[in-house]
Amino acid sequence: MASTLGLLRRLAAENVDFVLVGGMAAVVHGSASVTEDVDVCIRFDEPTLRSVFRALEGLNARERMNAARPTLGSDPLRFVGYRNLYLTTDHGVIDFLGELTGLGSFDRVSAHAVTLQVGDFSVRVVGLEDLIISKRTLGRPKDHRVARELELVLAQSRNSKT
Amino acid sequence: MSRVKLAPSEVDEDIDLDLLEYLLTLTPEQRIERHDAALELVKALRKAGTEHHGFDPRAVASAGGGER
Repeated sequence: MASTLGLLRRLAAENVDFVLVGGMAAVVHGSASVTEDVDVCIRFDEPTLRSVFRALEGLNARERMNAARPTLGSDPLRFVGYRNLYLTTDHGVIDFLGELTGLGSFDRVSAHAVTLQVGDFSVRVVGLEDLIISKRTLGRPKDHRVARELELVLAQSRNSKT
Repeated sequence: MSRVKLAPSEVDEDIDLDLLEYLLTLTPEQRIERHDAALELVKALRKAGTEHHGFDPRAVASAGGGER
């Protein structure tokens, strides 16, 4: 069974330096959409990948885009410099992205991320304005729809501050 | 959190504003829990549809607009 909270809790517990992006970030910001994967933006460097491996330990993580579905193995360093890593796990699908469409690298995404309390842990989530930019840039009909939802949320947020 | 009222425009016909307003009353944790429950329902309904038809109807639907 998919457990977004389970995945995020593990990443947070291992101090993975990540920003929640994509459809699940839209859900957190208030979108009514349903998505089948958790997208997180990370740096594909050694410390981050080591913490990712610790977080996924015991979850039967496998490479999703490879038909043989190989396990992650035990060497996080072989993924240093990757752009993306697409995985299935016992808690659901999770995609690690080195950059976000319309925005750029992890550092750019991270610069305007917001920290939200999710139950007993906190998660950094791509900022609402940035997420709208990314969804508009992706340009698929479903992305435009989510972007429109988020624009309504943004307008409401601005109104409530004035 | 109190109920909010979104200001729609004419382009929002396909957006469920009532649902969106309800979601804004939830905490981030509640939104994720609600999402995961909805996803499980979607998966169960897809499975039921596939078993009923004997194939995955989504494959047919997505192929409909393709090139020959």
